[in-house]
Amino acid sequence: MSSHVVEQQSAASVKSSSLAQAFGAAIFGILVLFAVGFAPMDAAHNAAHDTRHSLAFPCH
Amino acid sequence: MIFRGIIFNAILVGLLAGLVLTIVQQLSVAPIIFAAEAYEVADEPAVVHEHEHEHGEAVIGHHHDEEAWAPEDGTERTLYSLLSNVLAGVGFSAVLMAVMTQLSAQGVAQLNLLKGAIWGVGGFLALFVIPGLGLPPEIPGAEAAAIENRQTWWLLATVCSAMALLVLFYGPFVSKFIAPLLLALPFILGAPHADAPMFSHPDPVALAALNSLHEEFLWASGAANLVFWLVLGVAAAWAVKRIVSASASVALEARA
Repeated sequence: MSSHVVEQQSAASVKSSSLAQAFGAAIFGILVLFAVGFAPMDAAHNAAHDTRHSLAFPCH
Repeated sequence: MIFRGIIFNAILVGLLAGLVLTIVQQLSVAPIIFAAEAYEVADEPAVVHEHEHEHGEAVIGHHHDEEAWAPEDGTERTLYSLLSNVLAGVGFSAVLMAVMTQLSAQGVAQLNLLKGAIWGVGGFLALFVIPGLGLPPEIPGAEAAAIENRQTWWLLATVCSAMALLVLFYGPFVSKFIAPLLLALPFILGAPHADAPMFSHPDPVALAALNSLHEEFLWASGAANLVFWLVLGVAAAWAVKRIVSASASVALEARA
């Protein structure tokens, strides 16, 4: 019975770890998208200019 | 395991989607952007400047610091577009795959290539079509409201649209009624627009050309975005199936 409880606890912690990892990956994606689509520096805007227009990120 | 799997596969998916987008973009979207930029040099209509960030005397709605670095027109500009398109693909696919892995691991979503294409259409709707109803894609030279206001509205519209679609397809039954409210919210608040007409070129021929370019751009960028999101959706679904099954078999081995 105690091994069943241990199994349930480790299944729960695997689930929450997988959620945290997915969340971390989403944050990574959002940071990359910020750099490409929203970074205000002129050089970043000029490098990504055609991408921003093509993907309809607000530009200029 | 999941984090590493998503990041690694997002880079591959982003490379593929960014490459495809670049090909489509260079064939159909970029020529429209270049043509619109030619009208920005209002006092020298016969001359198309080599470097698109040099100003004529009357700059229409496209303001840059003249000292800022920008890629040279031609190969350099195309390569930076490729890089940016790939990074956009990486970013979108990381977020997409994070959501897909969670829904898949919980047994809420069953993924295959067809479902991936449907996810792609969903991304196209949430990240292009629905926000585009409030803030249509712009060509250079368009007058628009302050950039910060447009960015804020665009973020709100994309997040609300994405959440509305997820709730509609995967939420518990009672929560599906929230979807129309989420979709409507950004439009109730209203997209920010400039007080001026979209184009205000002094030459009526140029003005007509800009309006025509704008219409072409809507269709060209629409087609390019649809292709981009279909590739993202299908490739991400394929990758997530592998990640989730690899993660499940690792968990099984750990319990054995």
